[in-house]
Amino acid sequence: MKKCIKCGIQFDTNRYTCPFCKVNLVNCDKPNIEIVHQDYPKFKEDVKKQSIVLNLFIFLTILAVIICALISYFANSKEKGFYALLIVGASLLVCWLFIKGVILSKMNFPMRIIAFALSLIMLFAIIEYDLSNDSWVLNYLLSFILTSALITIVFAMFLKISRFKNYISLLIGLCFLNCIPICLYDLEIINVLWPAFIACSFGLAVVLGMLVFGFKATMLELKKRFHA
Amino acid sequence: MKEKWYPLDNAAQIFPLVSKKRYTNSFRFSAVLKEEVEPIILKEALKETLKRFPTFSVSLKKGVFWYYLEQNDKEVVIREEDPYFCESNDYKIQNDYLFNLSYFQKRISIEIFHGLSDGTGGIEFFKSILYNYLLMKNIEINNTGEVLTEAVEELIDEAQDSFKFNYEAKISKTEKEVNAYKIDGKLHNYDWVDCIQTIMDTDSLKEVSKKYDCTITQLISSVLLYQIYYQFYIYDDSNKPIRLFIPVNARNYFSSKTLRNFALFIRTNSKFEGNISFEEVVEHIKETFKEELSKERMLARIKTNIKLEKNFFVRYMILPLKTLIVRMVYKIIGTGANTLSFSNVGKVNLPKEMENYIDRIDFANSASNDAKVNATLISYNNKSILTFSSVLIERQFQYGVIKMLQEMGIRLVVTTNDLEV
Repeated sequence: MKKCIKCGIQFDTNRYTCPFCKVNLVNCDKPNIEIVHQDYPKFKEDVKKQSIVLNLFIFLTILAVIICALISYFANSKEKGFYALLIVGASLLVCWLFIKGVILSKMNFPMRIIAFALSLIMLFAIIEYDLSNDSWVLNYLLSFILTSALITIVFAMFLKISRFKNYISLLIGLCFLNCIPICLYDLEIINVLWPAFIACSFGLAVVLGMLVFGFKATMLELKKRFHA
Repeated sequence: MKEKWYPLDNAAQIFPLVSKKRYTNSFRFSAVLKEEVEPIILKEALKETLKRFPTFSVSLKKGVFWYYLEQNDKEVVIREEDPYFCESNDYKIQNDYLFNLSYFQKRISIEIFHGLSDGTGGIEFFKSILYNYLLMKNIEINNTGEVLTEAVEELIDEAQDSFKFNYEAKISKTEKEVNAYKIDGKLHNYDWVDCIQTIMDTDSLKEVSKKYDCTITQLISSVLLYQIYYQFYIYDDSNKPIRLFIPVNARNYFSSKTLRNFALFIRTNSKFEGNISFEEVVEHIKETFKEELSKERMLARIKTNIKLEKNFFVRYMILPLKTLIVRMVYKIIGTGANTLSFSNVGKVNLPKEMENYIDRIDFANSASNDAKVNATLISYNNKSILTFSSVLIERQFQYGVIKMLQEMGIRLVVTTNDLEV
């Protein structure tokens, strides 16, 4: 037990000085109250470590964008050069989304898959905008990516059925997304039916499967999530 | 077995919406034992305790409109104590459990997210962990109902949202409250929260309270108010009132056994001028307690809270939008209502045999940029511990309070988590 001569207060501490007046503490033989001495953990400065790999990636990304910008400028084909830059930029963006949003992300697995699927669609839409006008992204790729994402999540769920309650809302959301291509066909924005049909059928099949094989669990999960 | 889930209770609904790294909305109980803590036994004790406390064995999940609590069957995690207290809201490292049980030398600490429970519920959970820990160390304890164990029947009421249960539509709401005077100062570096604990002899504290004819809560509230007035307010040109926020255990006024949040509060509205005596401050506090602790006033507070939750737009607003709006509103209104919060959990009752193994129990609240200084009180084993948590470097307020208590004749010893500066 220690005491501050100036404040007259007793301290149970490893400090040398009074926390109030900074005067040196002196040992005290007669404590006001008998207590068990207990320290506090030592303070450590929370220094954020800089990742060399991450910094290298940032450096290479910026370098790639600058080089592309210079090439497009000196190639003297401003319009084509701009699109080339856009494609490189979009590819790098997707690459970053893949690293940060899929590999390093703390989000759950379906969320990562959906984020990656949407960023892929975005990338190919940009490429298509530059290279062709035959709408292959909306006609084929949109349905293909959405269906693949849904299959991946369903497969992951079957590997461990207890994941069902964590995946259900995103699974339902993705099933709805799978219906988008058929809506686009109906609105005559796209003109190839079979990929849209497959995506929609698969989405509906998953919803139906959830209701038939796990009606109680699905309803409970919906009740939890939609309680107001 | 059917999986359990719980909608957040009325008071808890705000906490996940406004919690952030520097404002975790958590509180902490610690027990200093007379021997070093054994982590392996502690973990087993926690596992055992969770069987009896299903409302604590949960994780926080996002719904479409509100957060909710879902049964969590993951492995429990215990860790060595962190120097930062009440500063972790990273539930992932706790396997999604909304509490953090830690140990350091002879101390066992638990930090509990307020969305889970209030101080009364929290201390019941902590008592049970301590009980199971000592039991697993082969210590014979005769539990005569002080601790909730598996032998004590689990009641449905323990998971009740007592705010909704005691809601009366006919009562009128409370009036709008003005912003409070704020204590300000220079902030610590590294988000450090200063914790100063005053370990007081409960008997001498009782004697002093008796002298002023008030309760211990009223006495400490008066000292806090008196010090805020003489150290800050008198030198400041502020029109805002000093408002002490004092949570009240509503279970004492309504019939409730809930282990979830069921605390209401008293808020002083103090505007003094010139020289005032301590006796006058005590009278003012006693008067405020008398007014605020009426059942009608409490029902009005419940009504105000429930009414907001029942509002159609609030109820059916999707969660991301709700979070955004609540954070904005909370930033403007919520944090300005209190000068300082002072929470007294009261006396902790544990079986007599446990006194031989537990030296003291303390209680602390988190502090943040919004609530820069907070005070808490708890009593056990004839030791009452007044804890100040503060993000401010200046300690003249804490010093003033401690010095005043000492001069009143209360025997005390001070400990601090702060290192030499």
